[in-house]
Amino acid sequence: MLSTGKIPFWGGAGGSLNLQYGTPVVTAYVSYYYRVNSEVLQGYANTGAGPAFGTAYLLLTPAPIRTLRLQFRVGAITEVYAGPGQWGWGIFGPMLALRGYGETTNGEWDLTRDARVSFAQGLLVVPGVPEDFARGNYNSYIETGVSNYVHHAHLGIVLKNQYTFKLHYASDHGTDDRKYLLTFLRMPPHDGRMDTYIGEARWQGYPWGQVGLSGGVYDFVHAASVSDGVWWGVDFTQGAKDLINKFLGPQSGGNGKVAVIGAEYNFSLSSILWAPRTFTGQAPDLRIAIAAMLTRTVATDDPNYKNMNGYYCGLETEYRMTSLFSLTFQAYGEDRYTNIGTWSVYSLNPGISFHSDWLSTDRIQLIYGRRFYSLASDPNTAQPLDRNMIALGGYMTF
Amino acid sequence: MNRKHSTTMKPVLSANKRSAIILLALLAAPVLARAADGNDVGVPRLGLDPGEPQSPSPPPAVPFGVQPAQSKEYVLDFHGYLLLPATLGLHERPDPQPGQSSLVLHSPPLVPQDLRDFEYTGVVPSPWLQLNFIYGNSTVSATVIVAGTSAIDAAGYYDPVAQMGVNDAYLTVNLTKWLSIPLQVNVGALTGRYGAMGGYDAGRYGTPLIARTNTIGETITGSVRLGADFFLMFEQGLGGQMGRPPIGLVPAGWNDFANANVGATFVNHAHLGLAYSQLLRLGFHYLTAWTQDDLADGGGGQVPDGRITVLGADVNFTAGRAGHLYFGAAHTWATNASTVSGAIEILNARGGPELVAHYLGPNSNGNGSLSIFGGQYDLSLARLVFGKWYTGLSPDVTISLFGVGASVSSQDPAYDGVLKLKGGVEATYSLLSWMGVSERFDHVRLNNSDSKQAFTSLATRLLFHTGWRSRNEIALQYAYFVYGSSVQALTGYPPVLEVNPDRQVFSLTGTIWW
Repeated sequence: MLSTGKIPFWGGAGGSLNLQYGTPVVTAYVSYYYRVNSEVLQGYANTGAGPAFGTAYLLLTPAPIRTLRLQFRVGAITEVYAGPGQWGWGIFGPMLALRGYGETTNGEWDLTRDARVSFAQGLLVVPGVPEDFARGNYNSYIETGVSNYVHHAHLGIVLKNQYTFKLHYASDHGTDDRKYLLTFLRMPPHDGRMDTYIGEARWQGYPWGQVGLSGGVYDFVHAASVSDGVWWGVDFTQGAKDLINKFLGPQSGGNGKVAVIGAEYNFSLSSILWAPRTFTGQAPDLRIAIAAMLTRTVATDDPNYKNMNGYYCGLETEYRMTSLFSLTFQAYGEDRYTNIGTWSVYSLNPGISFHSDWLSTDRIQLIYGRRFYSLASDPNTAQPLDRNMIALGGYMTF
Repeated sequence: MNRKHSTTMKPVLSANKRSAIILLALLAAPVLARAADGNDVGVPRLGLDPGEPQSPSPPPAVPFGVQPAQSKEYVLDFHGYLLLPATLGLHERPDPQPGQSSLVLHSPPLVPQDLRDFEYTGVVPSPWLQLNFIYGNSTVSATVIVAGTSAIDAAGYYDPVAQMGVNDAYLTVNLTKWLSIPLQVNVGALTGRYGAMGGYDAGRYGTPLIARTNTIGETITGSVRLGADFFLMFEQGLGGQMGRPPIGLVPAGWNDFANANVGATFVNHAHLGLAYSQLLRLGFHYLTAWTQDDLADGGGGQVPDGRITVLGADVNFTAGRAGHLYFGAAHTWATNASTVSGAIEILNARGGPELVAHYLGPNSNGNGSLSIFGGQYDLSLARLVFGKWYTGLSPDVTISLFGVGASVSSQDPAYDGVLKLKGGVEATYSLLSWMGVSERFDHVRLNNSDSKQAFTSLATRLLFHTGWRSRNEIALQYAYFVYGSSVQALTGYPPVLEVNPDRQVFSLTGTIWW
């Protein structure tokens, strides 16, 4: 498929093995995955499709100290924070995802019976490559000659298991060791950093579902030399490089600030209708998630991008008609400024899915998608992007 | 054979011994105890089992469920080893430009720690991930080992070579109950490591002293009892590599800068050993790797056939409370070896091309020889004093002394007569069930007659575990390097030597094995 923007399914095919071994105190986690890259199925063109180790780490959970519970992760880690959706994720993903080798310390402390304080900090190192490393498709055109580390800290409180408030901070530092090459913005090498400040609030209560609100600022200082220790920002945008390209502009020098606020509401209609009885999920239901996110470039050295706005919106519904069959509908929109015009993509994606039971985690899904592009997002008239899309796939988690 | 120790009886102690106990109770490393905790199943062997992790210092594996070697029925067994370091090298910029700090941070650190070269000490850890899946019963089993040197969600994807996929896959047939002597046949893609300096691993340098083989073929391992306590051990193997890099292949990062000039290479090896109880093991090793491929060296057919032959001997002395002593020596002959592939490794150098690059010199035409010697001694002070009463569940101090030397004889005058030496000492004090400290000193002389080609490292580590005999460790390490003026570190694409390596390296490492 030749497309851009958000698609209603994961854009690949493959599998992931998540293995764990240990005791209640110490556990090893390993994820090993592959995307279907057999030459028989699609031609051996992308070594990045795996198979590969994804994450691997030790999780240590010492005995609680009174009401203080601690956990330590050491190894090759990814961490996600501040997604406004249910379980801290959401339609547009977490607002802060981190990665690297290092450690993360998590703690929870029962302040009172109804108040629980949580905190976390971590230090991650992101390996780099030499300046003369040959970049190419197989290595995602990795930025050369830079080394990075990320420090992050988080503080939160949960009240009555219903109200959640959290603050998130992450600082990604890049040391630029280049002697000959320029940055991707055609600027001389310069040590840089990218700081992220996000606030998160969430309410959840039966039968109404959950509402999440996250917002904050990404602050870039000569960030063209900062790698992707901040793995995802807005809508899975990877690292400082892609965030700069999307929101600060090519003349920014990697300097600027992007403000973002997003919200998501998830609910089950049957839960609301059945209340005060408990809905167990073993009956017809309509599940709805609706999300929106606004971005504003509040500062940048690129005058074209200054004070420019963007938005994202999404709707995901599933009508579970029987234990075996559902109707689905997903709709997404993205609209933001670029120096070649407004970049926008909208899509409408009805579908059907089959599952083996009401609560099973298996799906066979057929989706039709109709996509709408602006000129800036589909500028090549000689090779226009696909407008219509059909996807048939299956997945199962266990 | 189960080597678990009794913990129920208490000794009667003399006054002197009681004093020693008090002294050592304040000190006392679970390392040896952990190492001794496990089951040995199968045939005694002269090299490392190919299923053992390809990374330094893991003790014997323990069963996840039921070991196939102990089961009449087909069962699935699962093991793993994770070594996951975050490393950061500190360096000073000689001429910082505007916007550049005078302090440079390198990840990965820029230090002389090339595993394939003599300079490697293993002081700065690098990632290793390994999952072993074994299916079978006591007669036949299949082993598949998935391995890698990077976790891409954390590190990004830029080095396909770091994802090895299925690294080893072999079939094991145990003929012991038919032949009435321990005899095991491995067939498939597997490694052989001979000259393991550690009690249960390749030693502090992670380098088999005699040789390593990387082939698809067979290995037969067996032993014959000679009297009450003596065993005659033997091993034989024959194999080759599945393919050679095709002619015209452009060396690049994605293919690990493959050398298309090597020919299809085969290895034949035989080993003979004499063991006395579990106290002493004497081994003699012969390996020869050769190529007779008309496609070698670009297919011109003009190069002579290449060969690398190794003769070696080693002795393992496992003396209970006196610790474990290893000493070995080997002589390697290289004859037109530039076309011999990495089916054989000498001191981790893959085949002739790396033997030439690191030892024989570019003008040697692949001809020359290498005399290698090395040893390691590991001692547990708690075990020394308490003997079998020490169960690993109390403080301990372990001390390791280790060293390796290599003398080069080459047709390249610049390399002929070079003597390379490295040695070190490490002391580990396990003072609490959850914490220990360790200090390691290493000195490396890349050319004994030139002090400018020498460097020294001092590494201090804080170690954290979940118990005295746990199989996990979190290590926080600070290492300081002092370099001679000619010491260089590998970096670049392809890796080339660069002067001015990092002097300080911080690392935080999580390790677990099961």
